[in-house]
Amino acid sequence: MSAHVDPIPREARPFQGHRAGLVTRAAAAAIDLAIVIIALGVCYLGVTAVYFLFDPRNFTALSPSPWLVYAVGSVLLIVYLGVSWRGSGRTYGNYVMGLRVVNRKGNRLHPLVSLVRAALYVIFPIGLLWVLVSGHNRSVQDLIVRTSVIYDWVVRPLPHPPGPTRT
Amino acid sequence: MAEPDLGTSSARAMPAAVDAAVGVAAAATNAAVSVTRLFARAAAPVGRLVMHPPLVNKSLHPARVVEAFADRGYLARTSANTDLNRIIAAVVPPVVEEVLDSLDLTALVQERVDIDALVSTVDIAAVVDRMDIDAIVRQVDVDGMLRQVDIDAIVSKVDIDAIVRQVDIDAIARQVDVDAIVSQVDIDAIARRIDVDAIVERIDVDAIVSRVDVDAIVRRLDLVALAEEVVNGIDLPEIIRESTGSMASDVVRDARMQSIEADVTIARIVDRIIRRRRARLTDAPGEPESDMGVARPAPTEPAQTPPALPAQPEPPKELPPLPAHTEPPKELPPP
Repeated sequence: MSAHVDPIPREARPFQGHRAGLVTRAAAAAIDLAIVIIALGVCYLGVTAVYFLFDPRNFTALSPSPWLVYAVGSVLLIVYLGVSWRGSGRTYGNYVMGLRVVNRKGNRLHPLVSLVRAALYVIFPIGLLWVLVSGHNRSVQDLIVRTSVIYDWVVRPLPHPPGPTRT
Repeated sequence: MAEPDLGTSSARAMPAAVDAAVGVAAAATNAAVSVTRLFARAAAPVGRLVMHPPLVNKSLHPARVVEAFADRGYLARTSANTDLNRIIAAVVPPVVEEVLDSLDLTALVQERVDIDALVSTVDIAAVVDRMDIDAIVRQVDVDGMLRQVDIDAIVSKVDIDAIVRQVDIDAIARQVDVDAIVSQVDIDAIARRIDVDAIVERIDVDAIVSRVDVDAIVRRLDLVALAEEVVNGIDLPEIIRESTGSMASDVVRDARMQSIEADVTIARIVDRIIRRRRARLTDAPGEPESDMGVARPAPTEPAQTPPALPAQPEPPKELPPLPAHTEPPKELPPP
């Protein structure tokens, strides 16, 4: 038997498990968007570096069309969101803001549901504002795929004590 | 009913001739008595004339002579009775004693006397009324009688177990008003009379403690649960965070709490604007990962309530008591 100590601060404990409001979710989305933008920039720099390595004399800076940037960014965002929600239920923005996405049973999302939800956010991001007027703090995407975003602060597991060494 | 046996001469004890003679004698006697009465009745005037002849002085009447002889005869008879009484007093007692010695009076009484009938005629109540029982009792030496009584022997013969078995103790106990008895007891007065200090001084605390099996007590304690309660009481995670936490973790926690406050505030404002009367249902299915295996105490004390959101009508005030983590409230209170 082991003792469990609640690592959540007292003031935050009552909110755990409840659907999050707009501000927290928007902040998490902003962090995720920033990550994707950074990732796009990294991709741009990487592609540019490859071009430079192959033909340094004729190297000129790449200037992709906005549609291409939007398309790549959207795909990148969908993959990032879908994989994150399917995996741990959290994107990095969710992780920072202490959120987690669950399905109608409180479990992790099905891969397809996760990708559809991500696509809906990319296609119709304004749907997040429905949280303001929803009586259940749910966005349009949540209503479509029947998901919820809850306060669930990350608990870092304590490091396990070293076990007996095998000989 | 049987006809009374008139009897014949053959059935009688005496011979028939005797009875016949007696019968004749009786008839003759009756006849003589009748004749005598007849002559006496006829001779009465003659007798009176003889006893009281006319023309003769009364003192010379023959009746006077007869009366004189009667007086003399009376005197003689009475003196003779006195002599006879003396003779009887001298003779009868020894004779009676001899007679009584020769008789078995007990057997005679048993045979001849109907004691039951005799007793039935006695008015015992009247006899008792005539008795002075108080005087009798005063003459009884009760102390002397009691000294002669062997009480130990009597008690040893009494089957107390049998007596006790016949006693319905439950019925007796039901009739006892324990409340009334207790209400009459002045416990305060009893307590005041107890010298607690003297009692405590007589107690050898060291001896008592030396007999206590501390190890057994410790084994029975749920030290883990106790430790959890203590840790939750002192908010150990908060202490750890304050002592070891980095600046980044503090920033993240503050950012999260501020965003939660902003969520609540904005939701309240929007609800007022759209005039929502029902509270928001923010409860979500499932259990947060942060609650897995954590037993949280109920935030009953003021220090355990969320300090950052004192006026919020949202989940903190609606959550059910911990430690058993249950579903948070289904509804938030109206703003």
